Amino acid sequence: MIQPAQLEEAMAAARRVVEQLKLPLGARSWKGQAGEFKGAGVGSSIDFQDHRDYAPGDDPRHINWQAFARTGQYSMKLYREEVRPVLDLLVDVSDSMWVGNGKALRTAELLYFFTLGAERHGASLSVHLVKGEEARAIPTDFVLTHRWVQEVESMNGGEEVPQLVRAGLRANAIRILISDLLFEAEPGFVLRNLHDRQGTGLVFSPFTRKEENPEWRGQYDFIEAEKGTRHSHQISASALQRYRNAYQRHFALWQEECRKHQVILSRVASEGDLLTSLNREAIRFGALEVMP
Amino acid sequence: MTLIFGNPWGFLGLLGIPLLVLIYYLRRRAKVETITTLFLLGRTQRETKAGRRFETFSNSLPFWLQILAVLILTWLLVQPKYGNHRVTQQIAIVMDSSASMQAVKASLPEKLKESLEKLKGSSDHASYIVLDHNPRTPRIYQGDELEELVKRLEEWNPRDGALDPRPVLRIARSLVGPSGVVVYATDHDGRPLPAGAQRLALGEAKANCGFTGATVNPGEATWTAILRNYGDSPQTREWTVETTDGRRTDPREVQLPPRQFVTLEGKFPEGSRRCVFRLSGDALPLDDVMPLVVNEPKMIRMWTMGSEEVSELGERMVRGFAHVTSALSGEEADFILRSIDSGTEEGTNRPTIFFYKGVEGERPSGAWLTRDHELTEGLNFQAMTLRGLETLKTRGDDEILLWLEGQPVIILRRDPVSRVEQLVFAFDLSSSNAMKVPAVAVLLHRFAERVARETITPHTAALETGQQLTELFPAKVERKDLELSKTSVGGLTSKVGLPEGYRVTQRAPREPGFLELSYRGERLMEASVAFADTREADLSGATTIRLPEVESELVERRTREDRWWRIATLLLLAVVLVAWYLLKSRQSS
Repeated sequence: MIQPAQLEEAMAAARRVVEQLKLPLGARSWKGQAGEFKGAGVGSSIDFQDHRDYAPGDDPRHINWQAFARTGQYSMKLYREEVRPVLDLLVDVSDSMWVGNGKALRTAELLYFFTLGAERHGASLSVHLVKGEEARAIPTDFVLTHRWVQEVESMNGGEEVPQLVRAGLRANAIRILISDLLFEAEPGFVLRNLHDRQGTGLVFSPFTRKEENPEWRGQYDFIEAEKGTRHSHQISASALQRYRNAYQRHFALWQEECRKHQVILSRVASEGDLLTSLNREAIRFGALEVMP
Repeated sequence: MTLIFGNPWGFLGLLGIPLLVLIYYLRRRAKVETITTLFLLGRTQRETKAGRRFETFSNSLPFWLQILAVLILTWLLVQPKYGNHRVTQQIAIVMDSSASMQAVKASLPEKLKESLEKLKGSSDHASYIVLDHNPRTPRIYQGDELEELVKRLEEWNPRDGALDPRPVLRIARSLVGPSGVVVYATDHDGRPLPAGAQRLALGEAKANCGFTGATVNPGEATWTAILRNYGDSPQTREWTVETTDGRRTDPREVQLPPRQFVTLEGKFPEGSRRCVFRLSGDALPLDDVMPLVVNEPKMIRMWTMGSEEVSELGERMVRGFAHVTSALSGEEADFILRSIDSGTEEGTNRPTIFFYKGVEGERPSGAWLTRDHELTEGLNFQAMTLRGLETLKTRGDDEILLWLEGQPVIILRRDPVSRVEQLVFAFDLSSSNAMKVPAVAVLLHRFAERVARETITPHTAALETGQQLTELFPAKVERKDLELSKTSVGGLTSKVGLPEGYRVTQRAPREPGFLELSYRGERLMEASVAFADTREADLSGATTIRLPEVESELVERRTREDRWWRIATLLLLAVVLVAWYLLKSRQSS
């Protein structure tokens, strides 16, 4: 699928981008384990939030003794809760993701980028490989040691639409889907899984220029990437134009559906370096933020 | 209206279609590519499932244009014509009746029938006119029954020499019209025929041996016969001699080297006037027999009188002219050579050659003018010099053969009383160089022959088949006193009728044999008639030439061409250019 050396290069590229870009983790309140990000509730961080009257059972360490000295009543200091963000990374590992070295590498780079980014920001990362009906959660180590490739190769979920529901997504999590979206399915069927249960969905869709604007002309025996079946087509200039239009309509529909489901869709070109490709849509749409 | 294809081989052009498909298949083999967006493509285009390779080209406009170009080209190649088959095909066949056709005569009717059926082609009917190559010969056949034609050809007997067929071919063309077919049936190739005539050669190169001539040596009872092998390989033959009374020599073998002559000699059979030489048979039977009669040439006697120079001339004539002898007296002479004195004239009762003597005068000079006459034909007297010229009074029936500056020098005249011919030389032999001038010698010889022709005396002759017999009939005899009969080599004798104008038209028989001319019951001439045309006997040049283009010519004449062929050609050009442009633009894109 991808050579080990290329995986190392992909990880190095992702590591460089992690220094410059981050996920918009601070844009929302989180619930969960203690961490670096503001939680939705009251916590034990140093950020003062409010006062309230003491109630039995409160932690006496947070009693505002200065206020008691002045008023003789117990009042509690309330501090902002600091929690770890929850990140569910869903990687569509269907065969179409590995057609062409550029697209495969870009997919790997995205996988490394989000894994390293989550690690850098102390997010609670859960990586799920999804192929058709099969969804497999892998430890983060598997990603950083490239063992995820063997996992992908051992998966046999068929050529169906990725069933994200089988991934066991966590509530109140940022759900990142890496997928080329090249399957025939209602976008809402996929997108619902990304935003239900207070989830925040982000879709990163690697693509190649060849897919977007191929230069076919004449007779082709096309081999379907997923099924391996052979299909003969005569491509004329008009047929090619119709294909390009269909491609544009396909992603226009995805964009529209993503807006409806409040999911950010960022298409990531396989050509060029990762930062440039991410800069084109992901940063512009707010799916990623530039590190200060 | 029927559609006819002038060149059915043009349909081979259709092979261009599978060739084109093959080229497209080889050039445009489908590229194999893994695709992730097939479902997007599937929405815009149906998949070519069945007949995938054919559909490879089915959407290619250049491919269909090239197929169209192949079809147009094929249409042009097959030469479509529109015609009406309900016509009678007029076919004229001019038969080469030269003797060499004897060699192919046996197989000729069937071969010709086969060719004629081909000539008829797709016509419903055919009308045949068969002509001999000799325009004087009646038509061999005219009608529309091929079987009858074949029957007539089986009876046809070619015996002539080589003739130029073009006059008869032109006659044939006028008979069948421009839409008819004219065929010259022969056995050899030759000069080009007139436009529109086709040569059908049915010959075959064969070895032939035959007699080219035979003579009986004068004064001796021996004969000499010459055999020739016309072929390129050595031949062996047997020959015999037969006499009219049935005697026959034992066969003897003779070896004939290729292209060589062999001379046979022997004694003439005793007690016989005639004999027949026979050679074992081969392809041409005509020259395998050689009739021969004893040698008794026609001799005329000459009486010479007058000056010494005339006597010397007479001696020279007897020595030089084979058929002239000296007469013992003027009474028994057939003609007279004499000199007469200047200023006189002599009446004679026999043909006479006069020379004047004692003519004096200046050396005449000026232009020589020769009369167009059988005696002076082709003669040149320019070298003759005279010293003095007798001034002759010409008569009304005189034929002045030679003039010198307006004065008669040689006159052919007739005696006013006896009407015998006189050849008068108006000069003195002693004062001229006439005896050294060849034209004078030839003139004297011709006059002597003229005398001999009119002299009635028994003799023998060796004739060739078909030879004109003009020289045999003396002018002074009447037809009723003459009787002509011919005898075949097999001994069959038959009388030959002499028609009006026989002196000009009568010819020797066309078959080898013997001929006898009687005058008032007495034998005047006995002759052998032999085939001696060596050109016809040489069969090595015979060949076979079929009629390859006649059928297409028939179609050409019975039909009219496709009037749209020019548009088709332009369309072909346009289609090729458009296909080329499309392919070019596709390659550049």
